[in-house]
Amino acid sequence: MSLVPEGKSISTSGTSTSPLSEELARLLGACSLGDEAAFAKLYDATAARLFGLVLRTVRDSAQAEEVTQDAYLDIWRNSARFDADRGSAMSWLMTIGHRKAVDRVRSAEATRHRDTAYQAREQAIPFDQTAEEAHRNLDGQRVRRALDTLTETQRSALELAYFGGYTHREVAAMLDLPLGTAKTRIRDGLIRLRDTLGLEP
Amino acid sequence: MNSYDINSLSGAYAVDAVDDVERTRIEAHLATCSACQFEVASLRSAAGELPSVTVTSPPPSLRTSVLRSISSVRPLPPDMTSDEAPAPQPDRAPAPCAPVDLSATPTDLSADPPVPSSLDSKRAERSRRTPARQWLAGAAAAAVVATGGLVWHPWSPDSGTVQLTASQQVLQAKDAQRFEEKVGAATATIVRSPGLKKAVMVTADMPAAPEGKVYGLWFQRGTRMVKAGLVPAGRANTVLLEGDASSAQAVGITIEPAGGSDTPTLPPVAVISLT
Repeated sequence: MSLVPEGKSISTSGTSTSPLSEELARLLGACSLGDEAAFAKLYDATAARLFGLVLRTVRDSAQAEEVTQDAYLDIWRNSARFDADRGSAMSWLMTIGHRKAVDRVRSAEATRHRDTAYQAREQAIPFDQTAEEAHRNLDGQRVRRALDTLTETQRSALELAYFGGYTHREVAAMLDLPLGTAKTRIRDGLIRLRDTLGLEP
Repeated sequence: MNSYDINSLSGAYAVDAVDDVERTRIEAHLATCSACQFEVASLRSAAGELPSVTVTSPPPSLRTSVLRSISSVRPLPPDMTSDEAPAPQPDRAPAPCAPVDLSATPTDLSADPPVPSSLDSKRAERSRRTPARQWLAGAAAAAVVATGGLVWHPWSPDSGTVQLTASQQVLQAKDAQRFEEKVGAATATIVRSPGLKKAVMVTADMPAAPEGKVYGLWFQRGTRMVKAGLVPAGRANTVLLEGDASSAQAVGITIEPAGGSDTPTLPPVAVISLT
């Protein structure tokens, strides 16, 4: 059922011209008309990526399952609102998953104060310690190489913001950067990543 | 916090590393600036590649559970009012960023907030392959619609100010004060401009009001509670409060029967102190 068979790699580069993105866009179109079989295919092709992102951010497996389910429900409900001209399907799906994960960690934070220094140490998991299956994934290797071209600060700021779910102000405090610098580092890092990966929206 | 370079926040916005007030300001700007839309979309596509380094298969039970849950949910029609949709993304040749003065002088307190996306372009997108120029035309049309029919030239060289909605004026006022309150998972942020005598409430993760009920808003002035409007349905909203906010000590949120009431139903679900 999977669109990405084991051991094969289909480039998911953000452009809507990649085969997987075109297929995902087509499946989203079918979902918007209520096609549950198309949704199952969409899930199979993207769940490992979306769940991995959510798990990395919320840390807890049970919560990650809840958030992932919530994200897919949103994807189903809003499938008619995807527009291939405004970005790739994969980018759209990950944006939804990321926002859900961030909402979860921030609302959890409301009930227990977060020790940012402690979290900074906890969060500083280097990219090379991630799931073994990511190593087998050619996209993962490509992105990892692109991340190696970032400066240390750009990479840390981007990692804390994206996977940690921290705001740029929190990132600045955690990395001891002057106020207003973290947002620039995040932006610079994303631009470098975009250009290295040759993404053209 | 009041006037800042919105462009420098594009990266933080693309990875959700902004707070609710910053998000509201950025989205208000994005609704009218195709160059920034283009940048945010391109940065989001870069961010969207990051999950390939954390790929992890979910347990098979999740698949069953997800597929079961969607079968009872009806997909929404393409009409777009959601503020959760990713920012629009034209393909090529974005129009230049307008020289936006974010602390622009207030000019119109009666306009409605802008619709963040174009109905024209939403219709066009049904084809899923519309050229970027068509999108831009749609976006330009939206800008006119959004400002209530006022003709607006975002990239004319001498446009130092833009037409801001009442909510935007408060959020971007030089004297804006910010008060935040968390209730459970929900966040309500009141931004008040004493100069404009207006306040805006920005909500996030607001649970739906009970069936047949709405959230009511009240200004507390001394011991009196003065009606300040109702909150539209939705998890995230930006609401301009009705009435003079300058002398209020607090904003109360209550649960009222549909249509609202003249006196608040107590106890309030939240009280946000403005002192």
